[in-house]
This record gives sequence, C-alpha cells and structure tokens, in this order.
Amino acid sequence: MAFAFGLLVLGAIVIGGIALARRFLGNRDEGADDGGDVLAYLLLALAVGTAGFALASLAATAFPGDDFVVDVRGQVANSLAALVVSVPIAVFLWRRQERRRTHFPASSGWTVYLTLIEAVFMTSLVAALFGLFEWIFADSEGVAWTNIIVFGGIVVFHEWATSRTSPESDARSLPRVAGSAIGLITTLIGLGGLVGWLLSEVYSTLAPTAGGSDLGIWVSFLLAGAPVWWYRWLRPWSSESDTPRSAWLFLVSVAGLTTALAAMATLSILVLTFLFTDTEPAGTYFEAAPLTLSVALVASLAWIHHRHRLGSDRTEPVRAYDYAMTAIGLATTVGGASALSAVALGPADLVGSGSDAVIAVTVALIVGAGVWLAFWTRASNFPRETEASSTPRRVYLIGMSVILGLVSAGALIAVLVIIFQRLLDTGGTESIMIPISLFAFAGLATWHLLRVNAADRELIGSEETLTPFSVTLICSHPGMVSARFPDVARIRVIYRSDDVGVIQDDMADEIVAAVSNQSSIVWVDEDGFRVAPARSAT
Amino acid sequence: MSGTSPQRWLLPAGIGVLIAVLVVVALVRDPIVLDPSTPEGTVQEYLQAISDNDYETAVGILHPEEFEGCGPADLARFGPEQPFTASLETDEPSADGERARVSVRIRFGTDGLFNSGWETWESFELVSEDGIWWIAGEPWPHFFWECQDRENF
Repeated sequence: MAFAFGLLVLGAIVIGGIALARRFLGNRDEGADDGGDVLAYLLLALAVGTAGFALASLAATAFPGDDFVVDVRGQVANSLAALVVSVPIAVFLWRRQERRRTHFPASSGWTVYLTLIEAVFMTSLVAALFGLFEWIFADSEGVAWTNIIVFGGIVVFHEWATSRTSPESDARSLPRVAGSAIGLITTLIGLGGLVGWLLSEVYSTLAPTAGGSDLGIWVSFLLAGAPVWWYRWLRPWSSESDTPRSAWLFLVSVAGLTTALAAMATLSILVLTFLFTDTEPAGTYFEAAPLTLSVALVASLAWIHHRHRLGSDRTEPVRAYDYAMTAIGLATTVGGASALSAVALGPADLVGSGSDAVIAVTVALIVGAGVWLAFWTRASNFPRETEASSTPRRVYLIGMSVILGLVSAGALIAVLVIIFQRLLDTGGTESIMIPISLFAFAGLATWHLLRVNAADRELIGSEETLTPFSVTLICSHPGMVSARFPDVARIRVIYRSDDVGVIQDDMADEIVAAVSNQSSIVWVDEDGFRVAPARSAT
Repeated sequence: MSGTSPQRWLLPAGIGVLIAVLVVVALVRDPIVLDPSTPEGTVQEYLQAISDNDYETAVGILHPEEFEGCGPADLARFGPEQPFTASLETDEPSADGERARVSVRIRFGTDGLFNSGWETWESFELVSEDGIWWIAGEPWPHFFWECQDRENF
C-alpha cells in the first residue's frame, strides 16, 4: 500500500513538473527570444547536473568497490528521488532545445549550457581520472571507476551533440576554452610537480634534503589533464579566434610570464642573499630552489605557447597583453622603489643588517622596471595615432592613474597622520619613510600617466575636425572594424549570405587605412577587400 | 515525423533501463562480509552497527573492561548524523599476537552538485581475548571520555 502510494506521488511529481515546464516554456517554441532560450538552457543544465551526480551516486552504491559499510537503501532512496525529478525535466528540455537549435543556431543559450556542462562534468571526469591514475601510480586506496563511466558518458554525449549542432554564437569557443582551462591547469600542476620532483632528485645527490614528494601524484595529474588539454586546445579550431579564445590567450600569457618572472626573481634573491649574507649551509638553504625552478620552467612553457598563439600582429588582444604587462611592471616598480627607499633611508634594524631586505626589493625593482620599460618601449614603437585610440591603452592609462593616484593620496594622508602625531606628541613610532616614498613614487607614476593620457587625448581630439563620412561594408562578418574607424564615421553593414567575407583584425586596419576618412563602399570576399568611393555623408 | 520515431524514446528509455539496472544491482548484490573472527571483521561489525543506528550491538563489540560504564546512549550521542561508507585503508591489519590495529577510511555524504562529501581516516585498536576480538583504545566516534557513568568506576 505504501509502495503504491509512493509510486502515485512520484508519478504526480513527474507529470506536474512536465506540465509546468510545458506551461511556462512550451509556448516559446516559435519565438526568437534569446533570453528565454538562456533560461531554458540554465534549467536544463541544472536538471542534467542533478541527474548526472545522482546517477553517479547510484552507480557507486550499486558497485561500491571496497566499501564494507554502505547504507544501500538510504543511498538508493536519495539517488532515486533526485533522478525521478531531474531526468524527465532534462529529457523534456533537451528535446525542446534540440528543436530550437535548428531554428536559432546562433542562440547564446547553447553556448552557455555547454560551458556549464563542460565546467562541471569535465572537472568531475578529470578528478575521477586522477583518482584512477593515483590508484595505479601512487598506490592510493580504492578507485571510483563508476564516476569515470558516468561523468565520461555525459562528456561524450555532449561531445556527440556538439558535433551534430556546434554552437554558432559570437562566443562559440567558450565551452572548448573552459575544457582547455581544466586540462591546462591539471597538466601544469602535474608537469610542475614532475619537473620539481626530478630537480629535487638531482639536488638530493648534491646535498642532503628532507625528502621529496610522491612522483605518482604528479604523474596522475599529468595523465589526467594532458589528454583533456590536447583534445580541447590543441586540435584544430573550426573558426578564427573569437573573444573567449583571445581572452584565454591573454590571461594565460599574462599569468604565465608574471609567474615565470616572479619565480626567477625569487631564485635570484635566493642566490644573492646566499652570496652576500650569513645564511644556513647551502644544502639546506637551497632546498626550495628545485620547486621554484620548476614553477619558472612550467610557467615559461605556458607563456611561450599561449603568447605564440596570441599572434604577432598588433591586434586588440596583443595590445591588451602588452598594456597589462606594462601595468604590472609599473606597479612593481613603484612598490619596489618605495620599499627600497624606505629600507635605505629608514631607521636601521635593531637586529641584523637588513641586507636581505635590500636584496629582495632591489631585485623586485629591477625586474619590475625592466618589464615596464620593455613593454612600454614596445608600445611606443607603434604609430601613436592608432595606439592612442586603442581601448587597452586607454584602460591602462586611466585605470593605472586612478589606482596609483589613490595610492599616492592614501600615502599622503598616512604621512600627515604621522606628522600630526609627532606635533601633538601622541607617541606614534612608525617610520615616515614608507608613506613618504610611496607618496613620491606613486605620485610620480600618476603624473607620467596623466601626461601621456593628455597627449593622447590631444591626438585623438584632432580627429574631431574630420568631416563626417560613411562607410558601407559588404561582408560576412564585420569583426571589430567599426571600432577602428574614427567616431565621425558612420558604418553600415550589408551581410553576405556566405562566410567568405569575414573581416579579421589585420584586415580591419588595412581597410581603415584604405578608406582614409572618405565616404566609401567596401566589398569583402575570399580575395580580400576592395574600396570604392561613395557620396559623402550628409 | 521525427518526433514519433523510435529514436525519440531511445534516450529516456536508455536512461530508465540504466537506472533500473543500477537500483536492482544495488539492492540485490551481496554486501562485502568480512570474517567476524578477524580484526577487520570486528571493525566492520562495529561500523555497520553504528551505520544502522544499532548502538546496543556496537557497544557489545567494545572491550567490556575498558569501556565499563559506557552505554549505548553514550555512543548514540556521538553517532554520525549523516550516512557514511567505510573501506579498509590497508589489506592486512597490523596484528601482533593479541593486539591488532585496523585503519579505515570513513566517507560521509556523497560527492555531488549540491553535496560535497568528506572523509576521515580512523585507526581502530583491537584486543583478542579467548579467541574473540574486542575493540579497545579510543575508537571512532571518540565518545569514550564523555561516557556518563565513567566517573563511577
């Protein structure tokens, strides 16, 4: 009786859920509302996520491996409850969205859904694979092989669905980028650990060490992450680089170079401190060197690969990378210069010579100044007219002048607080050198940034004297070309029905130069572009 | 027309069959039963009793002299609120004549979208008397020092 009642309740829940979904989502089948599509895909992701983990839990209960105490009935009840609610909703929404994808291939919802599924289930699959390899190579206890099958099955199913209907939105590469991130991070942890282990082994032949880490763990990370990274990142891409891919390349390039430089600076500090100060015996002192060196090597590899893929043309992502590094270099320079001044001119330490602090901040200053100088010089070598109006440069100049200006103002307040404390004899003992030097160097940097920004604005301002003109683009996709034209340009796009006339970043610059601020018609096809004069805009 | 094709029902039918198979396997399979006359079997018996909220049985496996004054209520107060699973950390317990040590990994909850499981590693000390293994020392869930009647002995 109780069983029949339970079945009745479950049936009512399923039918009620489907009826509600039909009521609120079904009548949008013929609409073009992309917002509704995103909502439906988010609900689908939630249903698939719940069903996937409930299925994994049920599979683990059915095949518990070495577990000798299992609350079978309790776990089956939990899993079944989740599955009974989520599977019908997932199936219903999947079918609905499958139909809609044929009508609205450019829907952003499909991209969002695939990205969420990739983030959740690819991470789970990599974690399960790591457990398997750890069991093989590191002799860990047990392996959740049911998770590998369930999560792997969900990933493969979505891969199959993607091959049938690939995402066509502007951010179409987002799911693959998410998978690449999961694979790359896991691979880098494994590779870093493996290189660190190898270097530690070499180091242990030279000096007694406290003992290395378990090689099997790093091999497991590498084996779990590398295939995912290869499949998601290294396979050929079906389309040109879009925003998510460019953003990922930018992010890894900046993070890779910064990490590599920081690790190499740490090594330099380690060596210089050893040479110029009284330290422990070399064997113990350099025990952390293999790990630091492995971080430097692995970060360098990540940087070289991603920076190479970012390209050599002066595109917006390349500019963003250059100016991000310039900003990091400038911030480090200001911090290093302030710290060095404070150490050099401030009160001497009661104990110790303070030379290790001098070495550390000097190295930081040299590295920061070197980075800033290298990237700022590089940016200055490009035509000022195009650089001045680029978004990354404006973000760098305005953003950094605001940040450093606030730091300088805050430091000035700290200086005044100390001065007033001493004037009023309230007993403050903190050194005034730190806020003074920070105020001076941050202020100096702000002044430099504001000066460059003012010069840029003068240069951009001269464009306002241009006569308004119109440009008609006949192309498959305009890319970012409209952002390259001066503000006085009126851009009209006539879309081709094929995809042979896509305007890439390098072509965009050539088109802007060829149009030369005159009203024009631009035709883009597989042979490149042609420009014809048009009547002036009124 | 594709809406009524057999393919339309392939996915839900496949998922349904898979769930049904897993449920049946989970419910009918033989649980792992370790030999109760061994240290591992004794620990399994103890943990299974706690999992089943059968604290009377669990207290019966504790060494009578060492745990004199501890009752089922004392153990129940420290009993886990979440369901758990357990597995042996090592295949062979470290046994030395009449004393043995069994290491166990206890996992609570399940890894999932809304529920992150956690685990603890516990070591059980066992004493053999007249061929019977008893749990001794301070076993999980570490209730020994809170036994209400302990001060009476």
